[in-house]
Amino acid sequence: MVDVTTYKFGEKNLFKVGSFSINKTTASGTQAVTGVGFTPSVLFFITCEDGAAEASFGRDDGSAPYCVYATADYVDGWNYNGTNSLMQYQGGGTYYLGKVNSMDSDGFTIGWTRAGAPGGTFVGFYLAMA
Amino acid sequence: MADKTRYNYGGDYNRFKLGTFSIATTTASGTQAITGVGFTPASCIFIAVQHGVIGELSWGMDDGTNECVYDYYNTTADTYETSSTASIFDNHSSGNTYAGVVNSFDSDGFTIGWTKTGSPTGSLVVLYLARL
Repeated sequence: MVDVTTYKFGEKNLFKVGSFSINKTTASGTQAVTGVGFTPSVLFFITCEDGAAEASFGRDDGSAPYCVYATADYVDGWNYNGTNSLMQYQGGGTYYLGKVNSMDSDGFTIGWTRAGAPGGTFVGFYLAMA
Repeated sequence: MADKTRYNYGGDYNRFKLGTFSIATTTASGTQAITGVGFTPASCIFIAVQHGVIGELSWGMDDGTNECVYDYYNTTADTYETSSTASIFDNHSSGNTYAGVVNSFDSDGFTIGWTKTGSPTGSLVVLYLARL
């Protein structure tokens, strides 16, 4: 396998696959994701709550977030959000959503918005590109 | 934002490749070489689906670390699951799955290592974005 910790172009690692999570009872706020090893310019996200009808697929460059997400309002229904890149929707105005507030020297910071009273664990995977 | 079409890394241009491949999920566990990419990728994004079949879909990423989210409908309706051991995952039914990871990034593509569990059926179509 390619050793992503040493595979470089010039002086930069250019990509990183990683994960993060947050408890959806956590109030709106920010979460710093670190350990990426460089300042990303683009991120792809896939998210899910294991065992729930909650999933999303999004992208973010810090200025134009976008995602598609499973909506619990319809059986096997999907919708999109043009202002956030991370979304888990539990129906009836209850959701946990986020976008990238800043690209940082070793990762990125997510700004989270909690609406209603969602519960469970938001698991996100990312592919970061320099 | 950087212009990705002109962003130069060490004298080589940033390169991407969109492509597809498929596999019959009746195939025994093993490997599948994907060629025609034109360079040695360093990471891939995968979207996998059985066309016209309910609940067999996954989204994944692979750079040697494997992560994916997959539709779990055929085990529990209207449900999704995560995996950190596969970047492609077809949940055909409870106990009958077909999972893939990138075993190696090669000079003209990559090699998928497939693990068949139980007796899944159908053709899994995989869309990929490979990146240098």
